[in-house]
Amino acid sequence: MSAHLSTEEALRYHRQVTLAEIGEQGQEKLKHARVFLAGLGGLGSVSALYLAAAGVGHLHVVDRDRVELENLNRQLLHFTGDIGKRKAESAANKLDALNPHCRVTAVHETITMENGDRLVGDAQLIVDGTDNVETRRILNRISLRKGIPFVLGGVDGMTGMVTLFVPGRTPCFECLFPDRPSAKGPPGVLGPLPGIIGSIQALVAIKFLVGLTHGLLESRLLYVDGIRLNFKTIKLGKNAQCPVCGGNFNPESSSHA
Amino acid sequence: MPEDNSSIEVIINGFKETVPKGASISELILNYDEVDAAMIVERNGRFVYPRDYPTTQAQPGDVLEFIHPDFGG
Ligand SMILES: [Zn+2]
Repeated sequence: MSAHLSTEEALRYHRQVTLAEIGEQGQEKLKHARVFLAGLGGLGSVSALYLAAAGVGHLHVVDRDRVELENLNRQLLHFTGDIGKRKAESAANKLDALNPHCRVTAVHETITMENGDRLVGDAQLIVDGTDNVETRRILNRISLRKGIPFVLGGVDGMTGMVTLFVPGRTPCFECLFPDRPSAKGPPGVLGPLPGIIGSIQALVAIKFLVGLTHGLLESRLLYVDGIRLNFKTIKLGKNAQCPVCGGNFNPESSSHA
Repeated sequence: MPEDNSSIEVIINGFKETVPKGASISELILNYDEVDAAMIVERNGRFVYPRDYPTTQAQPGDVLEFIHPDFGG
């Protein structure tokens, strides 16, 4: 694969390559980037669309579900005609059609502690599009074990949250949430909320992949309140008691990007 | 209830509240509905880890937010 952009690619990405923050170098980094995206629902639909459109070279997506009618108020990758199809397959079709330069590997599988390492493979970044705590705990442990940063996202009702976990530099998912929440049914969600959160996750991912390491939401939890229409960040300190990472990190270390 | 020697004023989820002096986060949470094992407590812009709830005492003027985390997708 050529390191340089074709004429078609140069035009396709023109409006972002002209940004000083991206440039041709950044675009070439995106072209060689490998991203693992877990979940193709409300969050994953939107982050996948932006990552593919931006020219991420390898997008490895996993979802265990099939498209259902009640998904369609927010899961923008899936259309009415996809009902009953595997989300992985539905997503791969749309992402291929959007950007044939993005090589999409789509897998219909449940992520577990056993298969997680293999599924994540040699990705540079894990993007969370899941809808449950259990899978996030698994992704967190894979992130720590492999030293791969993990962009957390979550939505519920009219609110959402995002942060970036970087092993060795920030707290981890289980620093923040050591306890399992009480079991509830699937929350109500208004479509724009996962749209906002998934978009911010894609922004964090693109910035990370091109090496824009400032303002990555490291040790900050962005909380979006769609009722008051307010965004705020909550500072995350160390949790030395974390049973998983032991709060063992140094925000000043330059172990990534 | 006005502030006196045994109570302090704090702001909880945007509302001014008078609470006992020395009250811990654990004690304050109990007064809020829908207490969940996984909850976000923000104190003056910083995340308070659950393990620190019993030992973190509210100080006069503290701005506290009890937030339900969002785990849907
Ligand atoms: Zn941790």
